[in-house]
Amino acid sequence: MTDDRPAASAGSDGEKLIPIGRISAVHGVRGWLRMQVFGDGGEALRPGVALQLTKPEGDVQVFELRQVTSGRKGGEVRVALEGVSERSAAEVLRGSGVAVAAHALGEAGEDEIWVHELVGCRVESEDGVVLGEIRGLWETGASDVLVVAAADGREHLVPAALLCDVDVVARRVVVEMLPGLIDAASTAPERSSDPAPGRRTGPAPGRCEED
Amino acid sequence: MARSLRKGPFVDPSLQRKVDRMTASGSKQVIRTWSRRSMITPEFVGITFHVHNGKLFVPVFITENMVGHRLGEFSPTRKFTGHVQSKKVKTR
Repeated sequence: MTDDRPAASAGSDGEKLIPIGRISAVHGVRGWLRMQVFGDGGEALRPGVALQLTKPEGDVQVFELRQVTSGRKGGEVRVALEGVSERSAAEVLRGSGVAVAAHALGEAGEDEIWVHELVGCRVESEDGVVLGEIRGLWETGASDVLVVAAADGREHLVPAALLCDVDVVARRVVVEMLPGLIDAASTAPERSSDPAPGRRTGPAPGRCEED
Repeated sequence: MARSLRKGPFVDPSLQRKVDRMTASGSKQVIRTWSRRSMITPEFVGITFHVHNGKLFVPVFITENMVGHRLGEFSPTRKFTGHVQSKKVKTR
């Protein structure tokens, strides 16, 4: 699994920077930019917040957000940055990744938690068995899945809905461990110990004996 | 064209048997399935399925909002594109 989106990094003052979007295009002639927002990152977009823009070449610049309005498409907003008032100045920022300091995202609501707070937490079952460390989130539609890296190098997939207890300070998360949750999700099981050459080991098309 | 209401939702019979068996016994476990075509019915709510995506089993916890969709819709088959850090997840 590869990560095409920018990973969290540390800012100049050592605070964790969270990628919240990407500049997709310019808008108009007054330096406005169209920004594609990742996840719930739009909550950090308030006038006055410092945005760190990383150009595709790697140059990093910090801008203060002057104004933000909703975009035409879902998941897109239009932003105006301090010091960018012409289209030509905005053009050079196209394709840049946008990150904010972690505190700018604010507090998550009740019974909610930011994914960046979960990353790196130790995952335990209810009876104290350590499964591994959270590496990130896999968006699968309605049911997001946590990617947990085990000590033996394997990756386990755990539905975020099974999180029971989250202790961000102690970097510890407890999940409801249902029978069969870990073994099958980490790797496809062997269907036959010694299959004949050329013989199917999965279910035949149209058959559902082992559904 | 939409499926005829007369027929009701399609669920693979073997998957339905597994759900019925688990519901009757009252046990709580993950149901492993290859049946991506089965529709999610209200009795699936609260159950965790392992839905095969061609390579591995993706855990899918069924919520009310998923009723009427197919299991395969929540088990992506395409290349993983990245982890999102600026997203909130719900806990219990």
